[in-house]
Amino acid sequence: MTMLSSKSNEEIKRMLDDYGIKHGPVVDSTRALYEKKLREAMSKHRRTQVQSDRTYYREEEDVTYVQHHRPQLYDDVSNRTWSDYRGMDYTDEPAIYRTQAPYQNMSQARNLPPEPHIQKTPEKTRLVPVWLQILVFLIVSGLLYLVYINMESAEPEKRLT
Amino acid sequence: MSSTSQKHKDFVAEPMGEKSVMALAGIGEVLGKRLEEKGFDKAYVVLGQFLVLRKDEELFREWLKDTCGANIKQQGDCYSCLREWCDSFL
Repeated sequence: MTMLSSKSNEEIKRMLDDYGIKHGPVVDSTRALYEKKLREAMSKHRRTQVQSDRTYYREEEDVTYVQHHRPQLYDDVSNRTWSDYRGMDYTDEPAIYRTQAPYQNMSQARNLPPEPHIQKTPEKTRLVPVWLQILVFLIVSGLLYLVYINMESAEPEKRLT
Repeated sequence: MSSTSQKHKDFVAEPMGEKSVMALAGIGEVLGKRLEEKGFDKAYVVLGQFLVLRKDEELFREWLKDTCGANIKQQGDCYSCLREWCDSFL
């Protein structure tokens, strides 16, 4: 953590120039805004740095194949709910294994960068909080249970006919 | 091009003098109170901030959003109000 608030106005100005952020004079009333912009630029910079390092690792033929796949995988993983997992996604799963296997063969060091990335993006792109999903699931299953009970009580009547 | 409101027209027609911050287009009671709490109690103080941000639209919009929670429309109304006022009087 760089503690932007402890830097002088002059240093903030220099950092803004370094990041190419257009700005006016750094004074008390503009300080908070520029610190916020710097924080955003710094975290974005770190993210793009990590990604570019990752692409740097892989210069074999697998690169393009994997990179085309990865965005799809991450999108699929983050948007899916549990009900979807039961059904249709087996076609995608072998692809997951396929892309990861070559990595494991290459080197141990390279294994580490992909994994945190896999864990990070689904969390960041989650639109619906988990507790809400669980709640909806319980409500739906409760309703289904009620329907089931009503059906059961109706059965004995049907048997008579 | 969106049409300007009566508030906008009234504001840009004359020097702002000691007008309250709520005289600015896009700034109503709620936003006005929030700005006053932060020390921006007169329109000319917001003008000062606008000028210190070099009259830049993006910076001013962002500052306004962070300071009083203005939405996109309110940011735009306030910005064009001040910009037009500056074109005439600054």
